[in-house]
Amino acid sequence: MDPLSELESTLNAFAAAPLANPDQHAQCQFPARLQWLKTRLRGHPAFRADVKCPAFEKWTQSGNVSSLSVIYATGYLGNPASYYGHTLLKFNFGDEQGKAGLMDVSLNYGAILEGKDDDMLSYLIKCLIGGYEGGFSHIRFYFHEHNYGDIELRNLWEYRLDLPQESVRLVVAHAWEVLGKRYTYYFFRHNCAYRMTELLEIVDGLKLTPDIPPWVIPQSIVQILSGTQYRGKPLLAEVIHHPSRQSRFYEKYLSLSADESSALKNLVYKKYSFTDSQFQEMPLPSKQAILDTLLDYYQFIGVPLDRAPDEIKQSYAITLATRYQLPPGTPPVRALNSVAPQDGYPPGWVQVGWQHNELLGNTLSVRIRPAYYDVLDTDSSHVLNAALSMFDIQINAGERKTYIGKLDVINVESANPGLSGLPGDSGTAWKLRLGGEQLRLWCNNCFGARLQGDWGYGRQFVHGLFGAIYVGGALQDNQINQGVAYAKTSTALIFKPGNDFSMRLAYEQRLPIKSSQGSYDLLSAEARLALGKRSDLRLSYDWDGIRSFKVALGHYW
Amino acid sequence: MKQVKFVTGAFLFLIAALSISSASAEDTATPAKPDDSAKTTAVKPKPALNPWVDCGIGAMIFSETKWAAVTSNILWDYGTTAVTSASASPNTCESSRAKMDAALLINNSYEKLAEETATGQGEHLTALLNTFGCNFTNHSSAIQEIRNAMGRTVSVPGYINQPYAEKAAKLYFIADEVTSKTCTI
Repeated sequence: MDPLSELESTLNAFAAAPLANPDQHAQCQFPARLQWLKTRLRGHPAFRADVKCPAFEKWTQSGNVSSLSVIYATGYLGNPASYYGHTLLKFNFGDEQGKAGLMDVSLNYGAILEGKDDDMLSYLIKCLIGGYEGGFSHIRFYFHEHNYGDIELRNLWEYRLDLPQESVRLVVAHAWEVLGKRYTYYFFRHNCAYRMTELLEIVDGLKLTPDIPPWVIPQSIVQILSGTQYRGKPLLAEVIHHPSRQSRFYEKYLSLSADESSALKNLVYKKYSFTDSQFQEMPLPSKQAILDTLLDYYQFIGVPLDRAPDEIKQSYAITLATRYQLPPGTPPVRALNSVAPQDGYPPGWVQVGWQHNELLGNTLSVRIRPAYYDVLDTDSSHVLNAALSMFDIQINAGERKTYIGKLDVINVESANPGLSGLPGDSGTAWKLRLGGEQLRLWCNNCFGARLQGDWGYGRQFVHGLFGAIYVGGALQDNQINQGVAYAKTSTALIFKPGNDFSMRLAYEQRLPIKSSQGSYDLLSAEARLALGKRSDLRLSYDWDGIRSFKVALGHYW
Repeated sequence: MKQVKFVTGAFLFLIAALSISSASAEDTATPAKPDDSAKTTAVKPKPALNPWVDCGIGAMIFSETKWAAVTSNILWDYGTTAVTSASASPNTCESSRAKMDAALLINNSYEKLAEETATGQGEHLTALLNTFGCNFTNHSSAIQEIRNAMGRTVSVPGYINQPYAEKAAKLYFIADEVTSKTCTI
């Protein structure tokens, strides 16, 4: 359409007399256009019509939005659509004390399912290829705070923006305009993070969506936000952490003294009860701390509590009733030492190194991982001791041959840290990997497809030391007589005393199926040293009957 | 989910039965005689609006999202909140907007509200009191009164297995009564 014609039509519509249904008037349907045009065409006759917009006024509480926040929900490995996290936009109205909170309106963008009962695979494929429409919905923030934090056990991070009031009003008005609009939903680009930044970018001079790479990851957006200036000031005014139920449980549990922790365990294992002297004679703050920890514990292991086994429900009920018998008050709790998402590593990673294989000789190794993290560089902005990557490719170039070392279409490792070791918090772990690789370390012409899965248990032994054992198997391309499949058992130890250094040791025993190849063992060790916020140095050792070493530098982007 | 629906349906039947019996009693109440000024017969007050029974509070939270959509990042069917059907007119419910907002908050966050009331503080509790229009200076005394009532509520045998809507409604009526008496705007 010709822009001038569109402008004239818009102004004519704005100038129309009020309608019987005032919310249908153009000024009420397009308040952002109205606001913007008023600043450009001051005093234009089109703006003289006395139009009231009851629905818009109600939605904005008469224009009482004081600021905007971007909400980031950390990734969730229980749902592939949630692997990369999620973003929301929140309109902060402020309470009596001026504090934004649970009653604020939050805006969410996602795929519109409308009762479609697609299985997970169909759902994923449709999300990738644009098989769904997308749209915005709005709801009070407490709804998301509950679902993300208490049900999916995901941390929420709130990034309150420092924008002038006219910009806040413009974004809110534009959000009203796009409610009900339908888009095509694409998981990698035109996703929640993209649409959120598209709303914010209506503000003149604000650019948040990256042009490169072609995909948009929610965590990247919050990292861009934290580094953006607007009108000479940081765009980011404040970062607020809304810890999940699991995080709150761990914070309380780790804040208990040795005596309190011991008492809690005795209560969980029913060695004694709340009415026994061992508990009754404890100081009041200790009893409060233990009960508050138990409330979070039972909610965490029973989530959702309505569907939990009766034993957990009864234990929770007794704990709650006992808590009411004590005076109110909350003992201090030490926050977990969390890395906020905006301070985490960028999602992309490229690595160049030198690799020596005892049999195959020396090669230059180049690895490109577009997203996202592995067990050595994951931090609390992701799932700890976990891994998530897609299209991770390693190419080896030797004197005589260049070949693909491996290509992971998807690699997921999920590990509940099991920090307390209490029943229900014992650390279920699983792995899923689909891709292709050289099937054995001693060959470079045996690239085959492989699908691997493992199930096991992990446990955080002491701070910084995590261990897991697995059983699993794989289906594979039958090359070099390796069989069509194998069963396996494996163990792994991850040592991560801080954010800058980490190390992984792993042992695996494989039993090929339908192959004359007997069982064989694999050993691997990898150490990582962070070099600033965007680089790392890794040393790795692998053994598969022969040895291979690699030293490589990596860069995050 | 089926279990929640069955229990909720049983609860609604019970409320309906009680309503019919109370209505019958009200219909047969003897009106005051105009020539007998010394004595009057008390008229039973109209039952307070129950957002779960009268307004389908569980469904209302979704009806406000402009379209009944499911995002790619939220799994709906946890059955953690009560979904009930409405029996009162939308205008009746809408005229008590603040109370409906409070009921929606309780319906969504009942367990955290119960826990925060036990500890005597928390952002959900603050949000609830603010939504009921309770002045900040009155929060402390309101919390104490709500806490006393909730302490009795959670100590009832079988509390944990009460239907979610029933527990949420109890907290709603406790908070409504306390804030009506204790809080001033």
